Amino acid sequence: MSAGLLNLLLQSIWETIEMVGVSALIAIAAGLPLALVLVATDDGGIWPHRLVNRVLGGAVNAIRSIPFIILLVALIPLTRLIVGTSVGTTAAIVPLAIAATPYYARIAEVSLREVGRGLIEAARAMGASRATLIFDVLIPEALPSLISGFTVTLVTLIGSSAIAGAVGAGGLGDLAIRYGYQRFETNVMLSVVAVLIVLVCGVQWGGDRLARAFDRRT
Amino acid sequence: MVNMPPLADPQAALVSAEPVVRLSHVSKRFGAVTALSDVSLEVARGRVLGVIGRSGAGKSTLIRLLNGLERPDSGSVKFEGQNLTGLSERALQPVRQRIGMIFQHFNLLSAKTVAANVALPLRIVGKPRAERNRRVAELLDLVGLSDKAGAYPAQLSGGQKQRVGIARALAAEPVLLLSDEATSALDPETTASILALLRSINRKLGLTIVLITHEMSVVRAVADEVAVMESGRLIEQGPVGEVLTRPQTKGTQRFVAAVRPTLPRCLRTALSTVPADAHDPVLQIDVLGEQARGPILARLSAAIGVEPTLLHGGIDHVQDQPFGRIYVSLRSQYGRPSHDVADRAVAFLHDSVTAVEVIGYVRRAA
Repeated sequence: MSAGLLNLLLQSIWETIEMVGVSALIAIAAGLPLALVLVATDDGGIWPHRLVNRVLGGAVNAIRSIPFIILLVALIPLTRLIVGTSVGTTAAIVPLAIAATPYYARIAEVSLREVGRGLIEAARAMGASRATLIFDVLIPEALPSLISGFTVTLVTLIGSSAIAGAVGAGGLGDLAIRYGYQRFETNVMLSVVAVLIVLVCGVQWGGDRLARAFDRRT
Repeated sequence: MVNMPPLADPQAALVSAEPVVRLSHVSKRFGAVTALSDVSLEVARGRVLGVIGRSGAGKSTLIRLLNGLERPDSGSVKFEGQNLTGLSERALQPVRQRIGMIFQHFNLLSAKTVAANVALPLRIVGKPRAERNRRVAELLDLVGLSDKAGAYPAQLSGGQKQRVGIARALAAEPVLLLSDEATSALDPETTASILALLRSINRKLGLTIVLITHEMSVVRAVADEVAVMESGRLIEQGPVGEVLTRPQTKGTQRFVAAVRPTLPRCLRTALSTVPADAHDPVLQIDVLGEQARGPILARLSAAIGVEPTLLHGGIDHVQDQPFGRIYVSLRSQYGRPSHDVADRAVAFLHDSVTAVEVIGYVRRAA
């Protein structure tokens, strides 16, 4: 591989990390509160509210049902409105974050639901406020599982970011399509696949370690 | 030692006339299932009430009414005179801060250390850090777990977890402690130590305790009073010694049977129901309190001329009060027929013991 291609590869890796990193941060910042609201407003939750629960649940399902490639195109006007352009790495962050938020919300919702009812009951019996229930019981008890879910979201985002590359977002997907596929440079294609494997394995390994570090259940 | 307001405080004496807990005509349904039906009871300050019942009898619902985790459909629930029935979730929070609760499965937070678990109720009531640390140390000392402050619940045994649960329940200096089958998941030895701890806390701190259980042995070990539940109803209520020696209902008798001596099979099968030649009557005698201290068998022997033989049973104690059941056979020293001996013995004992009954006749030993 020439020095030029190597530079291109390094730049693409950085672009992928940037797209995935920023959209993942947005997904966790928006998805976790969304998950908390979904769990809290459910029947028998700590703040039951059927209307809020149905509306948010419906919105999450709606976004989750749209294939990412379609979401990518459909969101172009919104992306232009937010970042001023619809091409490039920054522009790709908008659809990636919007797709990843409900995705992580559902995963986090499952994690939060797995916190034993007995623990919630014990905290309620102590006279805990809802804020205490959320920040001292729900989140810390679900933390290992929330981290594992975030790892899954990151891996999914790496895949989605390659799709975003198809519409000019830059990153590893873009490199693979333009050089590996359209110019028949098989070594570029293989390098991209190798880098993606390493990236996904690294994320998974790091996520597992972090989840274990916070797990005090055994 | 744990800091508690002195009990001899004149103000406290005024308040103590008011029961800590008062349930009046409480009913509760879950869909088609009646969990509680017209239940009324009171618990006086410093007393230990044991609520006993089979699973599904409504005792879990009952104990959850006391801190507002469940709300009654009708009737009222009062804690220190305050009606909890109409309170919002937020208004219940300060009430719950004055009621500790322990659970069958401990319900400790797995992500927090032992010390942080015990400190949680103190953080909820807004105690400053220094005071929290001091109090956590006191409480862990009280339950004998000072060396486990930094451990996580998963590293503890069941009995240790329940001790943490008790320390946590006592942290905010509650007026009332609720125990929801706290020993049901523990082995007998650990159960005994947890029950002894509850009893000593009740004595030392004057803490009022309501515990629910399905075992009469738990009630016998710690409770002053017992309430028996069946299908959502309170079928019997009274001081433990009295209910144990004189159960009024079939349901209560079944629970009591577990902690009372019963004639072993080998003796039971040897009994005949009708008096016959060369047979002695067998008496079942129940005693309670002072009766158990008197020489009743010696007096019986002197009064009607019999040689009593102890077949089975003995004297037990509940809250330092003796109660017991013994089985004796009586041999007449004058060769009286066995039914006559039985009648005389029952007539003599009738006024000096709680209950006496001729349960059959056994062939006289050679």
